[in-house]
Amino acid sequence: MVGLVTTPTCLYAAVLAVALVPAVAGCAGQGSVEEGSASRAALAFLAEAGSRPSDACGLLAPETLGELEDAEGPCPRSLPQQHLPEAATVRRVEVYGKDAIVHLDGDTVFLARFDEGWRVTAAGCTADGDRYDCAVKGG
Amino acid sequence: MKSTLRNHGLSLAFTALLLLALVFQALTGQAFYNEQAAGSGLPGMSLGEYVTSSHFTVDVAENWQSEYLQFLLFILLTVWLLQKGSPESKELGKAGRESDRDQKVGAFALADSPSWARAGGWRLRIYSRSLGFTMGAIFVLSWLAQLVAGRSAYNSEQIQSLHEPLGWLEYAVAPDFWNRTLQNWQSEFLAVGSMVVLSIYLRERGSPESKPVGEPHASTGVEG
Repeated sequence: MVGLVTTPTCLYAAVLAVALVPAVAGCAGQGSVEEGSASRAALAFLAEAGSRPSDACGLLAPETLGELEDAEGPCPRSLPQQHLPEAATVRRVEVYGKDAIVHLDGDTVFLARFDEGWRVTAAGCTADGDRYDCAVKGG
Repeated sequence: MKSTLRNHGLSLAFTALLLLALVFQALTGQAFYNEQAAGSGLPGMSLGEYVTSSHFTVDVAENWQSEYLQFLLFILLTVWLLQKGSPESKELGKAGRESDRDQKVGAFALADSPSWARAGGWRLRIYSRSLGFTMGAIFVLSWLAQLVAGRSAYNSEQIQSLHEPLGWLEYAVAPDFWNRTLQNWQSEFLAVGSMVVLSIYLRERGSPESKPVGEPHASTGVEG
């Protein structure tokens, strides 16, 4: 401690490093690990939306599930009625912290990472300028 | 220990204040983020997740870059620009890099001058500008950190609102980046300008940032 405080420059450099390095490392390193997980969740949701809607409903974010059921009735019955496109190929994935956008052939899906994993916040989305209109979305 | 505190009290005090401010910024920032996330039905963050997130990083970096820009500009501009009456200015007539005698280099270096000040050559040239170089480097690095983290935080919000994320060039010219930058810059320039001008007429007895209480207003480059 005495050695440290006799060199104020070292003390300040240490504080700068402690404050910024882990934060920058955290926000830089997360994307590549989570891109695969977000992609798999989006693909699974779209694959099951028509054939196994109960499973697909389990991949919806809570608010999105609530919005769908408030508007259209129980999810296992209302989800197939949204006629979400079947998409098998991921063209591009972008992950920023706990939010992801997955561009697939025929659809764009928005996701958020909850404690239990990635969940779909919006699907059946088409671009309108830089904004998306989505068939299934939260409030 | 007592002499350590006495001789290094200023840096210790500001280090402690910095750490305290960072801790409370992290806590309040996490609370604010989670409040907004809960309102949108989105997942919150633990404290560990928050301090390693782009949201915390950009909030730290945008402030740091402006502080170091402030110091960089103040250090460089006070070489050539003067302000009559201000203790923050050099004496009138002394604009510029000054003589070797005044700067205690070359033949005028002291026995206990820093080694690169005594060395001459490229070492002296580098050391003579080391403060500006360092402030400038930290400014550039922290502004870069603001750009990287700011784009990530902004795109996170874009996705939450069902908007297309921005690419690097798009974000570098985006209102979010420049609004964050300029709102910080204006406050730094205001602070330095205030200090330069107010210290002409006002005093703080005992502070080296003030002229002596009885020093005339027209005295320039005199510290208490």
